Amino acid sequence: MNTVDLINKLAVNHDITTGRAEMIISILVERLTEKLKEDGKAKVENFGEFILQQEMCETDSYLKLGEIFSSQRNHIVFKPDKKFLDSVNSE
Amino acid sequence: MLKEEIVDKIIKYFKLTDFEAEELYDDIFASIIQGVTEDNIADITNLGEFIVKYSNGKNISSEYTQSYKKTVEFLPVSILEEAINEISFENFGTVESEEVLNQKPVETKEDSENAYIENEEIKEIHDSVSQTSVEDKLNVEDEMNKKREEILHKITTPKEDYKPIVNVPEAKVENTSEESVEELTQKSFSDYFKEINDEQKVTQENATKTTIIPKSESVIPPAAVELHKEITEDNGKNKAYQSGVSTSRITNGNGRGDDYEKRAGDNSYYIWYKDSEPNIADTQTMSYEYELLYQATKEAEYKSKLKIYVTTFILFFSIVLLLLIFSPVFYKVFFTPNGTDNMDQFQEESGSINEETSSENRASLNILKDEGQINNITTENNVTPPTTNGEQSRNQQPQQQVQPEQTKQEPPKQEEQTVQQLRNQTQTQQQRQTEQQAPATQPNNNTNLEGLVKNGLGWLDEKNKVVYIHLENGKYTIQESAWDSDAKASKRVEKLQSLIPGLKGTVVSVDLGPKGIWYRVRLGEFSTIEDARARAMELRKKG
Repeated sequence: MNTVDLINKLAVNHDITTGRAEMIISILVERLTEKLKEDGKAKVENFGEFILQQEMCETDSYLKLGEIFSSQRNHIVFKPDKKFLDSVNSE
Repeated sequence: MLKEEIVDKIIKYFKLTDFEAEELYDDIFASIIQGVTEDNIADITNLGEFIVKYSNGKNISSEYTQSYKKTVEFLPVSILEEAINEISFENFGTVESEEVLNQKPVETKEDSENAYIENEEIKEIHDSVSQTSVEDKLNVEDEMNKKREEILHKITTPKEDYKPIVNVPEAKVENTSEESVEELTQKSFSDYFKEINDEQKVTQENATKTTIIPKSESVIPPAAVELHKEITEDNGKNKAYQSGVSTSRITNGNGRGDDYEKRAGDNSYYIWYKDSEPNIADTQTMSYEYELLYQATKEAEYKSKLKIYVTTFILFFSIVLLLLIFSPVFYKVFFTPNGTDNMDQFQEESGSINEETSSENRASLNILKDEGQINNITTENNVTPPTTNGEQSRNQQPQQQVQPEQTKQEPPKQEEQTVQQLRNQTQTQQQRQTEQQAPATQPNNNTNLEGLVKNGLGWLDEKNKVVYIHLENGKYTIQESAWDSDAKASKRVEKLQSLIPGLKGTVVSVDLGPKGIWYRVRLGEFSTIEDARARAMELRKKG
């Protein structure tokens, strides 16, 4: 499934234009990222939860100058909801 | 709650009810779930991919997932990761301490021009939402239109004069200024970005100082602008095309609006290459050269024809001169049958020719011929050869001279004549002699008549152009004219008879020998010449 399919589906089901559907999805994604940044997690009912986890990586250095800096990356973990898993495993 | 926030936004921006907004929100994730279940993968832009994975029982974090065979794994998009980790290319030079990292992520505004337009619009929407309550009343579409205009403004304006709408992050500049001296001296990778930032700042400052209107020369040549003006006939519009774009009214999201056509008209650029303009000097030279060529060709043609013209002119002129010089010779050769020096013959012929050509008949008198060459046939068709009236005076003198010659020529020519003709001749001669000798016997009117000249035939009346002939019976008749054909003479007689009723006309044929037979028209018989003269006067008056 792609975003295009999702947009078309929304437009058809809710009688809206594809532009609006696209905007809604973008709003959703944007808000979700902001929420993750703010709170570190974002929960969606009957879908799952997005959790932001920090990982302490090894120190890296710039290739040229040898300057050391600590590269700490955050990665997102998704925990699907029960209903989501039920639907996936139902087949 | 995330749902509430999103639903509120949907309601505000898209004018939907709560129920519809919630349905939308739920349908989004439901469709994602459906997509994952059906296709085992769901790829959503700017978010990531949801992939179905068979659980090995190892990396299971939650308790309930242990019971399921399949799990769903989320792979975020790099943009999302960057947004979360704040590790963008532009922010690569900044060094953040651990404290900063441990802190909650702070919202920072990106400074990338290559960001998605959607993201910018969303950010702007968020910014607009965070503003005062007055802006909440704004229509989403109006905001969208504003954003669309800004985007178009970016597209239309060249990069030099581009004034970005997004606020310039000044914090970075400040941060760079707060860096240590060591960093400034040692050019690190971040220094390059500083320079770029400085340039951007300088350009922005210049843009703010100067007007937004770019130089039209750099974008569109002035000739094209002028041509566009001439075509559109809008002299009031500014030359700067951007001003029209910036001042245009807000349009719909689809790009339609009242000013759409105008914008199209203003932005209808004409690719005008300067070299394509017709050079005036070239056209002038070309026309002059063409004229020279044309003249040269014409001269050549004229010269070629000039010889022909000259030769033809010379030929005709020479022919005319020859004709003028040798005209009497030609006349004699072509128009005189025998070529004799007899002026009478010449005059008769000329008279005959003239009578043939002219409609009106003129009598010709040849008295000397009558005396010498007359072979009067005693019929009613005796005729005298005609001569013109103008030549009668000429005929008189030469006739008198020719008389003796004709008399000499008579005997040999009279061989063919009958005895009666000879007698008639002798009689006529005698009559004439008696007339000459004894003019007294005749009435005094004959000799004393003014305007009458005696000749061989009779009395010549120059005024009336007739000859009064004294007949054998003692009466006088009027000899009006002479013709070479009987028909002409008879016709003349009929005409004259019609003029004067009661006048009897006769045609007398005369054989003049080499000249042929001539038919003389004679009218009436009068006792005296005066009567004849009077009748002749009448004739001339009438016709």
